[in-house]
Amino acid sequence: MSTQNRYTVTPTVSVLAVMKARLAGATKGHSLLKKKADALNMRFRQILKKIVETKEEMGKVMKASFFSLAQARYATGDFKHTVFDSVDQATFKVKASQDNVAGVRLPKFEGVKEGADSKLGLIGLGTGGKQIQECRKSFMTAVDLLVELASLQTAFLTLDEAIKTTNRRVNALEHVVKPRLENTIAYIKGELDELEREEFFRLKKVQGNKKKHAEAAEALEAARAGHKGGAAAAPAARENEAANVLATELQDADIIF
Amino acid sequence: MCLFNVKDGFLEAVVRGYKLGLLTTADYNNLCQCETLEDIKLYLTGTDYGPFLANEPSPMHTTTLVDCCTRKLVADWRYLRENAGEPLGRFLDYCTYGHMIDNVVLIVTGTLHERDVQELLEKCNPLGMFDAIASLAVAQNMRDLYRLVLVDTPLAPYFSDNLTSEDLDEMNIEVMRNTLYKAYLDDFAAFVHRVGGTTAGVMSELLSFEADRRALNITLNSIGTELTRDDRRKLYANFGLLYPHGQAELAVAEDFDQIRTAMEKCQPYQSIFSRLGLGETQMLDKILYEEEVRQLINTYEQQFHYGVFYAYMRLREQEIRNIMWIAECVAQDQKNRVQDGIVFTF
Amino acid sequence: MRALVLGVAATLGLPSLLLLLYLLNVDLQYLFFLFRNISPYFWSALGISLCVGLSIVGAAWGIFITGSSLVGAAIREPRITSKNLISIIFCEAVAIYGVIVAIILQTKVEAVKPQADGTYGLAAANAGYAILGAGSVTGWANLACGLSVGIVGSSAALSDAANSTLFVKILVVEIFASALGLFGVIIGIIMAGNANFMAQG
Repeated sequence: MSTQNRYTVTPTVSVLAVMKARLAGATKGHSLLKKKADALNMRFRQILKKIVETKEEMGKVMKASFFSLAQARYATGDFKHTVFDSVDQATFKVKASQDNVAGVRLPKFEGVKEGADSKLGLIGLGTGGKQIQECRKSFMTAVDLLVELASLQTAFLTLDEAIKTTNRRVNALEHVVKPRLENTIAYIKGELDELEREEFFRLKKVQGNKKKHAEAAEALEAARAGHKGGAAAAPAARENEAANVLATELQDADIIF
Repeated sequence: MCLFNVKDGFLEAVVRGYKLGLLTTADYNNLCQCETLEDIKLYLTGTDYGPFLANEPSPMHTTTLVDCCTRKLVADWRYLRENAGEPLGRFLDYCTYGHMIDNVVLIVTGTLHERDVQELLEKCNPLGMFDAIASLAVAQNMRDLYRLVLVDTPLAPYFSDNLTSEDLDEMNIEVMRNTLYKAYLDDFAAFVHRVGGTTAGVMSELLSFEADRRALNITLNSIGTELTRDDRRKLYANFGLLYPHGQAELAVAEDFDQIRTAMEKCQPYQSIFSRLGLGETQMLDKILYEEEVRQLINTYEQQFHYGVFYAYMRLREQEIRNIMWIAECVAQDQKNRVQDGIVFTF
Repeated sequence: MRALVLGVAATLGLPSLLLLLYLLNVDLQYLFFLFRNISPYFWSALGISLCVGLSIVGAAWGIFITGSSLVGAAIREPRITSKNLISIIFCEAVAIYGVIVAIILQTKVEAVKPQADGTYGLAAANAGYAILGAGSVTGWANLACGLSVGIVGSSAALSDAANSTLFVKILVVEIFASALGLFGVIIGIIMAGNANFMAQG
């Protein structure tokens, strides 16, 4: 167990409780995010499929449209400016709205037709009006598709971004936060166990010492009863030794923390 | 016949020379084999268009190609116009009035929508240019326009005779364009009658066809629009094979079949429509173009008349359309459609 | 069409005018007197000048018609120039016919003394009218010939420029056109053949 991959906490019971709570939170968050990522991915694939379809259709429609433009130009000559000048207000507008997928807001565009186009009806009256109208119609479908494609593309990009962040979060939770928390918990547990064992050992030692003391006192009693004096320094030395053991233990802990 | 060559023999020979430079069926077949616009350019460099295409930088576009070809026509036309005496000069001018009307309408509508004049001028058909054209943009409304500029142009009578000042302000620009064009055709027809001789015979046939085609197109294009029958009737020229009974029928026609019935009563158009399947409107344009080209080429069968000049302009324009079509088809990778748009000349 | 009407009017005009005058009982004696008193040398000079003048007008006209077309067509197809010079030569030949006939006619003119009353004898009058007739026949024929050669020549130039195989075919037409002038020349020479100012009678 690496010492790096955990939080710097004091291994106490309360911290352990906090860590455990965090771990529970992280696990829950992870599973939720995972679900979100799945949902987004599903939508992403849908959009991708649609984009591919639309793009293919777009290719066809654009080809047809430009061809009909060529046809109109063949019949009429250059009519660009005539069309420009007879247009004063857009009849086709794009409305932007939002769509919510698993908390991600996707921009959505819709083409809206407004008003009549009476002035355009007479363009190319003398020659090629029919072709111009055809051309107009085919470009209308092209614009519809274009708007749809734009909507899909932006949704695609936003979704892509969202999926990336979500995946990052999921991965962060899964590979960084959770292991670290687990490590920390394990560490704290280990430390606590250690402390407990130490405590236990010390208690035992103290008990032993006490016993020894008691025995010594008994022995002293007995010796006093037998030979008094001479053995007074021994208990003091033992007490020093015990203090030193504690000191090293503390030093160790210092190094660790 | 004996005196024609005194003034116009040289130019007639020149224009016949130009006509030899038109692309032939073999040329078109070769052009159809081209894989890229570069190939087309390379091939066209070997034709009369050579000098006009030679200096074009390499990534070609359809529009530049068409521009170059138009420049060739314009250069030819200028040469003819500069060498022409009267009344050939007038005749040549008359041929270009159609473009002039388009240019005037373009500039006028452009100015009313406050567009840049320079940009508009670039878009004008160079054949329909006249000296005062740039000053068209000075006028802010139609009345000024007429008073200041149009009076000096050859188009003035068409404006003053056919449009009142209220019309100038209110009329739909397309209706106006076609009213002018109608006046122009009538005037042109009267002019060729004044010139007389073979010219009158040849040209009135061509102009009749043009008038009838316009009538047909106007009818076809105005079906389902707010153009009333009377308005429609006013846009038909006052001559042509359909005049006046066929036009009366066209004026009330409400769908393609009625147009067809009206047109088929006229012998020459019967054959045209018989080539057209029932309910097929798509091919009509091409068939009409083919018919026109056939008539234009026929003008070269006779000598000593002005029709060849008109025919040359029209044939060259058709050729430019063909080149554009081929170029578009090649550029848009629609080579299977190439044959649909080419009207073979020779 | 208009030219045809004019031609018919001209040919029918003069005889019918005379007929009209005769029917109206106008005395034509003065008319004959007028003609009798005009010198045959005037008629012969008029004939010779008509012969040369009209032939040359015809030739020049023809060359003009052919030439302007030829020049225009040669801009694009320079190869036609040398071949089509033949049309110019045909036109030129017309002028040469006129000159030849004029020279022949000129040799017929001889000096004779007028009669006592100032008129000339029958032979001189005959010669004068013959030379007038021969000169005008040649002149008008050559004018028409020059024009027709010119027009055909101009067509030849244009069609040769368009399609070189057509040249020979049109050349045949052109040869026929240039033969027209020869008819005039032949008749003119025959007419002048009998003219002799010095003849007795």
